[in-house]
Amino acid sequence: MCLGIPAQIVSVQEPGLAVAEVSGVRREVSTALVPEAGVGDWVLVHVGFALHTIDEAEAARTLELLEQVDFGMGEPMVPPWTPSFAGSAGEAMRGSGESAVSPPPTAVSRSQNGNTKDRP
Amino acid sequence: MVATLPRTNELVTLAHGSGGKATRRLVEGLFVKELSNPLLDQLGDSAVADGLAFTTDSYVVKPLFFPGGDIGDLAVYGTVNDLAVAGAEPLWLSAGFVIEEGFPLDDLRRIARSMATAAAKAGVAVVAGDTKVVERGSADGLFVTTAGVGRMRADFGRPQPGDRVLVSGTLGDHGFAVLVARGELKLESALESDTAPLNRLTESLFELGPALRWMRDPTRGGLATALNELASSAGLAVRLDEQSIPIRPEVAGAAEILGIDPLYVANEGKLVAVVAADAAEEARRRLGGEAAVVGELEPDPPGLVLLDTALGGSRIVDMLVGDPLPRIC
Amino acid sequence: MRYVDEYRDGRLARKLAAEIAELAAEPVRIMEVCGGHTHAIARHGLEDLLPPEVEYLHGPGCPVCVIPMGRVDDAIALAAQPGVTLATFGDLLRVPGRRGSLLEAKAAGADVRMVYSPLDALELARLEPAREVVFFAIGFETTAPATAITLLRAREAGVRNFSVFCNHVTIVPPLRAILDTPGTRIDAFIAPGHVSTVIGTEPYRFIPEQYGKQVVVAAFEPLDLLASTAMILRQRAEGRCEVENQYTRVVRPEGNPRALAAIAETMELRDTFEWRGLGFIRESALRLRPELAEWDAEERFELPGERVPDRKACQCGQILVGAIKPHECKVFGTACTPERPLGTCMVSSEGACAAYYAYGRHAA
Repeated sequence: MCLGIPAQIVSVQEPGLAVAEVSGVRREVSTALVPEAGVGDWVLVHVGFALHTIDEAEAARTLELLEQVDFGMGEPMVPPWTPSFAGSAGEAMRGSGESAVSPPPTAVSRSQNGNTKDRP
Repeated sequence: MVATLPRTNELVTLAHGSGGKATRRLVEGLFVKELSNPLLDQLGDSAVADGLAFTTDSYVVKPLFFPGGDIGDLAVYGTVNDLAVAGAEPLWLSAGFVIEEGFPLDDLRRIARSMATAAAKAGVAVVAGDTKVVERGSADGLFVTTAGVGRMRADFGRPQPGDRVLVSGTLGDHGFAVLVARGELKLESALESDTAPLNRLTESLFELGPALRWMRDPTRGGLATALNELASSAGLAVRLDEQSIPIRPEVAGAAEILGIDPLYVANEGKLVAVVAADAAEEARRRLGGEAAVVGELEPDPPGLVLLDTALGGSRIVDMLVGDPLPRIC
Repeated sequence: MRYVDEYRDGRLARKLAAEIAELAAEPVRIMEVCGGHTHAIARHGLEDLLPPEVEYLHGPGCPVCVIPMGRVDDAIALAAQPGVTLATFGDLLRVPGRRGSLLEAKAAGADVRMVYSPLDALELARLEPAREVVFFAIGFETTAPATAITLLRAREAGVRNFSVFCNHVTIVPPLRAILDTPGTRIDAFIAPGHVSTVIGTEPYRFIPEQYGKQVVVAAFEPLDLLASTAMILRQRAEGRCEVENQYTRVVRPEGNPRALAAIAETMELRDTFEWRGLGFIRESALRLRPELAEWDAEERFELPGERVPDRKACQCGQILVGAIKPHECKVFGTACTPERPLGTCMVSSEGACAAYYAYGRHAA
């Protein structure tokens, strides 16, 4: 019920009514709450309504921050506890020595997560 | 005056038809209890005895015609597949039709043709049938009931820790395709049902001999339900790897929008098989296409299905409780 | 960019988990108050990635979970009336009232229909002018705007056979009620992401300012939750106590003014409303404004309106305030299961107990 799904507007039927798409699945949504949204914009869809636009620049920045996680302590860190998942116990961290509030790099690095899903 | 309803704890609800826990309670607690006999009590999809396999199924899918198929080929393939995964070579089908007054003859002809094509593709014959017509309003268009007979071929080994779990392709296609086609949720997509015969694939797997342990066609209730049945009957745990499970992007999209987990959604042209570890690669090769090894059997905790998430955590894949998708088979 | 897959990257998850482990110097109990967060944590097995010092508690953020049985009985009474079609979200179908759920009422002959959106309910009313369509509205401020716009459409289009049974609730009063409950041991909050897209981040400031607890507004993907957890721990390590926004790609400090205006135009605060497990909370729920009485199911129909106390064995109330975890409830998994739920924490797929039962029973 809390389901808020990011979807992209692919067409506008009339003012206040658009079609939004997630991975090839489309649904009519009301844009009464985000009248400024147009074709190509990403919106958060909840119970048939676009609740808010998704800011692509902010989304990119969030991902960069996630990629950049460091401790501001300048040394590679090993988790003091043994993770319960396989494969990464004792994996050293790539601490860079920069402070936690350094500006994001100009190029966004896309992670390889081995996911076989297509991306548009 | 406030209206009241009759007491409801003694009525059948839609949950009883979902293929999950409520269905099991109804089947075991009511039907098997009354009809009990050694063959029925095994609760297999097919009964196996004297070198034969025998199964039955009903088809109440709505809408009757959906992208990728219709109630006709669904009925033929569904029955063929039940026999095939029981380890049999499917031979003969019967088909009973309950038709609502006013049903268009053209649609009925289209469905019959669809069944003929499906039977030819699967190499079986529809050898017996029955037809009943009921008054308008008494049956939602058309219901089809089938029975099928096959000759046992497979020599299943016993599931053991270390065995691998394989699926023959992408999951969730049929259920979501039908749900979208029904139109009530107003979704549009290019999703198609995967309805198809599995007997060529199963014949290929029979050649693995006792390295083949168990098979199912994960229809109503999805992969999760089938594997819970396996875990329960084998007294072992099934551990799945989330990232290995093949799911189409469109299915993932519909799943996100609706909040329905594809693991619980019906498939009509896929099989799940358990094979010995050293036969897994051969089995995968024989299944071809988008077949994948998705998990493994472990000794503990017995009776549970676990999933290792892409994040590195783990969770249980429980038996279905509610009814996310009514009338998709 | 798809906005989902990127936030489920296993490698990044492990990095964040390591940072959390490093920052967690002492035990810290973080309450999340959104069913979507509870569900995401359980579904992705996030607690497996956390060090033992960090614990998630699950608060009353599931609007289905906090509906008292009496209101469910009222909905069933509505559905039982001849000529009435009750349109409801799927999540409400199995919530137990005193004598069964809406699903069971449907089996007994009540016209109960599942809809994905309140607009679908309005459409039903348009298509079936002979039926009285009542929409069972639930949800926090995330969902109230949808109901609000639907009501405005109904009035605009002059649709007379449509009404709303309004059970919308607001997020701030229960948070305050939990913080004021003696014996509460919560150190920080992960605030609900989607409610915040509507109300913004300002309404949570009373938590750090008056109660000295950190708040981070989090998005819903597993990496977002881990990042938010790290942000809370970083605040604590640095001696800060404030509201931070992790969901910057959607949440603005001011929220969505249009959505807030729609709510204000159609609804007003009730003096008091009962929350399952939390009792009566002042000014915590919404009802339709008097000028919309024609579309208010409580005005158009006679409802039993009875207060039904929770079953004695049910400990949902303690779960909802984070006093106990699901597996600590005496009837968890025994008398109370998803098939036969005693309380709504087990029925709703976003309830803490349903999530624990479905996803994590083996770890309990």
